[in-house]
Amino acid sequence: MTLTAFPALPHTTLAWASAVFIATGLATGLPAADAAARLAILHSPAAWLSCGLYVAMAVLAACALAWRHRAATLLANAIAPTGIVFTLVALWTQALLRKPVHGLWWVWDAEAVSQLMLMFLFGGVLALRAMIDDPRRADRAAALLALVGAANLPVLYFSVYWWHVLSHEAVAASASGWAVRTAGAAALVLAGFVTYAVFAISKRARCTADEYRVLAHSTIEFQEVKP
Amino acid sequence: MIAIDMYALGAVAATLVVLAAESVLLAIRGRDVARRARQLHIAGDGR
Repeated sequence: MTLTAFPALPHTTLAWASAVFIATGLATGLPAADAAARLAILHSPAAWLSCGLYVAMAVLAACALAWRHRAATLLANAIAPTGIVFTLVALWTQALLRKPVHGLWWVWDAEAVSQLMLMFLFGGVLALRAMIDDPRRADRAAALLALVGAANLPVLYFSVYWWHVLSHEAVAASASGWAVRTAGAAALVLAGFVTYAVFAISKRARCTADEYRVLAHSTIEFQEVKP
Repeated sequence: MIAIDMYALGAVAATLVVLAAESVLLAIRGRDVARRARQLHIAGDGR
């Protein structure tokens, strides 16, 4: 793996662009009349992005398994921590949305459980890589888990229809009409989250590629010095 | 309603803190790997 495998991305620009998008989205969405609308401008983008990140990770894992593509492996591994972050955001905002409706922070329905499963799958990919010593076997095992775990995505997306779960967010949205009023703000926050994810994932992949290179170089130097 | 508003603002604050923390950790990691690359006289980007 060489440094040129990931051409230098303007990470600082990406980070500031994401901050501007998120700040603008929040500035337009936060003055909304009800609290559910304020939470929704965070919950919906985070939930969509966590699914999107898992799809990207599964596709890259498939490429890594099929063609043993190193860059695909590197990117797939770089997605998992950011996926955990956005799944966590989706989970805690979901809990905050449900509290006023049910009086409970957590309800064991298919939607919530499959969202929780998504976080465990991201964590499982990271844990599996850390558990296996041989990096190639670790990458293959993590890619396989990412592919198998993709079966959770349709469950998450269609849970509302398959199990006739009441989507509390949808009920609250239709009651107060915030879905329309905050759509623009949510779109801006989503743009900010996506830009942030691109920044974090490319930065992490690049750091990992650099670390491999430094490690390889130090090993060569050590072998040269060793009598 | 005031309490729920506080939940919403808390969630926004917590999200921003988590994203900022991840960015700082990545920046520290990038700086560290760039320093090690400089020590080994290889062109580490580290940005």
